[in-house]
Amino acid sequence: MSTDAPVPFFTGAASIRADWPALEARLRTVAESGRFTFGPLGRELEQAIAERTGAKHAVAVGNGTDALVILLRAAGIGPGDEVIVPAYTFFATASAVLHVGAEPVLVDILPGSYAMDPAAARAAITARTRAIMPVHLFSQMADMRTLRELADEHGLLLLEDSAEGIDMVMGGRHAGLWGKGGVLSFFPTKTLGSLGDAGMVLTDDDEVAARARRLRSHGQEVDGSYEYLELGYNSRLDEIQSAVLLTRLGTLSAEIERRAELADRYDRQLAALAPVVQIPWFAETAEPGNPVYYVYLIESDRRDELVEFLTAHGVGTEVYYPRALTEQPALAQLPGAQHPVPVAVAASRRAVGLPMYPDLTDQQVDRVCELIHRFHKETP
Amino acid sequence: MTTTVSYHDWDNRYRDWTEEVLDAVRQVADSDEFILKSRVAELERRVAERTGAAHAIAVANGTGALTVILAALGIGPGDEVVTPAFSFISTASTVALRGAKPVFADVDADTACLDLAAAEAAVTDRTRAVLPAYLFTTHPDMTGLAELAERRGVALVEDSAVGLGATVDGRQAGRFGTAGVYSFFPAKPIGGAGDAGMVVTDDDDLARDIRMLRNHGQDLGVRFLHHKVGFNCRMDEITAAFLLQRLPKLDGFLTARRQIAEEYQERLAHLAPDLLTPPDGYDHRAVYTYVVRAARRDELKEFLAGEGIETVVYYPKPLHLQPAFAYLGHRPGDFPVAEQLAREALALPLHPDMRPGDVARVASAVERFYRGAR
Repeated sequence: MSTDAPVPFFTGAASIRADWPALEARLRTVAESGRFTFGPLGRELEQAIAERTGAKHAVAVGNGTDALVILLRAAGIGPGDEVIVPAYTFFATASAVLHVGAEPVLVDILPGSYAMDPAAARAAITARTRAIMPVHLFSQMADMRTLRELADEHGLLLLEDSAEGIDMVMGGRHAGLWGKGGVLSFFPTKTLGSLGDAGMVLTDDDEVAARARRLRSHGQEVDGSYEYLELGYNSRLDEIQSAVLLTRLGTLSAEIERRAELADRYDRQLAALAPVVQIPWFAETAEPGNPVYYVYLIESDRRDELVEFLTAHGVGTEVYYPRALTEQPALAQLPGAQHPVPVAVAASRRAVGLPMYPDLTDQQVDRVCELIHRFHKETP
Repeated sequence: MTTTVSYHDWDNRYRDWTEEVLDAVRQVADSDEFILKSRVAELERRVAERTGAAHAIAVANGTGALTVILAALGIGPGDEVVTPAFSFISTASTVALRGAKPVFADVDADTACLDLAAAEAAVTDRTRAVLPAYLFTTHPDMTGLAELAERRGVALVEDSAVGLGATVDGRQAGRFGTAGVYSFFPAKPIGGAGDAGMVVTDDDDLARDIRMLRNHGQDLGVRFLHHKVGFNCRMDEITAAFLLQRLPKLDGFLTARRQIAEEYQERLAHLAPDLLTPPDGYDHRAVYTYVVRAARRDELKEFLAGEGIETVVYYPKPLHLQPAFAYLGHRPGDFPVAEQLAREALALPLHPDMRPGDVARVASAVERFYRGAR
């Protein structure tokens, strides 16, 4: 490979090619059975994810956003309720709360973990607060022991937007299982990614699971009964995506190890640029967590210029996230968007994700690092 | 008893399409384009061309299509939407989930679709839209409903989920109102390889809003800039790639289905009034499910099951009596035609690759049931 070949922000084509024989066999089963919407492979995937995460129930749905909406409904969140969420996350964390008729209250995050600041959450609790929903981003979990204690102290539900959290564990518990339930997203670029939209609800709670199953199927207790117990959604996981995910599960552990190697390679080459460039670091939590590099996120004083430079040299990046949720036009006017969130706002100006996926080569990491060094040398 | 005629016959439905499924997955994996990318855009172009719509907007499924239309129209708390008491759940649940009130109206006994006079009577000052649905092999009086919506100044949202390829009064299904929807659920005449749907509209502003709303309310150019509280309601590239292979064959699928319906019609029409067949004249209709009406429906269903013939009841309970709508306070008797259909409707097997003789087998069994009874 030429040294200045482009480095895409994401590609998974080589991984899928390597997995193709196993995947093809599963896809033939799907096509020949004619069952394309949630069916036997979806149930097999639920079983496999439940085993991997230790969740009592895994409920497959159409995507991670639907998983949040269904989790919130299944947990009984609705009109009149406030749900505390971090101001630095993907939009769906807050929109899901709005979709069930409740109000998101956006609070600040901690540096390092980019996760909900327990002190900020505590300060935002009102008589109407029903739940706290932290998010686990990029490579590490929120401080769940502390948040668990906060929720218990105030009699609040603890829910998790663990969309990025596959294989993240803290204190022996998988992400999503510290409270009433969590979610997984299998968006194609995720640590466990499909080839289209796919998601899951995780819970140890029998009632939440039963209700989530009902809600994903238009409120039917039994699929095909045409008896609708409550207002539900059409949120089925396609069997093709289940075939992809079941196949990709076989290499997930090795891929997560590879991600750690790549992160380490980045770290070693970029550490010297501190403090102008800040490599990922792990915030202190009441119980230790394990790093799982879904996104390799750095911060830079000159983020936007750096992104422009890397783009010009064929390196893909993604700015996670360019705005705090309090700055989103769709949310800014909400009563719950009025808390100051300086750490979230600073992160939105400084953070950027570099290429991070199992198909990435050592040489590509070296090239990205070399370019970042060059940017700082040439344009001091 | 072994099944001699399966209702869906899933095992044979897509057997000839296995290579197309594999090809769609391989293409998408190699391209690293997964959701709402070039194949989806191409499918949108083809559907727009075929239907003559200014805009075709691909979404995750038919239910999602209705949801994004209602959201784009700004329908919410305090608003009413007139919709049939006999239909699939989504025509009413999508309204209710927007916080608006589904106002049920009774259906026509022959078509099983929203009755024009009943719809007119249900319109109030709070009505924002009329939402009729195409069912089985039939369609509502779309010309009349379009006139009603126009005269009363309300939106017409057309649940033409089963109707892609059909025309009504010379006009494409889905093209009478403010916006229409198509579903690509695998059982539909143009089945996809997973859930998928499409919105069609001529309204530029509505189309722009729907494009945002299907993808988290995001700006159409700038990523992670959210103008609206949108949904994740996107079509996958795999499904689009597969549908691009299927779409050119749609007319053939529809013709095959119409022929089966006509064969049933010829064999069964004489059983009236014990058994009532759907309205005649399949030429331009989208034939989805062949639903007959029988006063002794449950006995007939049981008899056919004994003969190894699978049938399905669409729908066993009208919407106004569903537990999900108990909060609206309806009682049995409120919509008598809907209730009668729930007691009498029965779908016989119909899919384009039924084996030769299957229709005759089903028809003979139905005839035997009524002969034995006399």
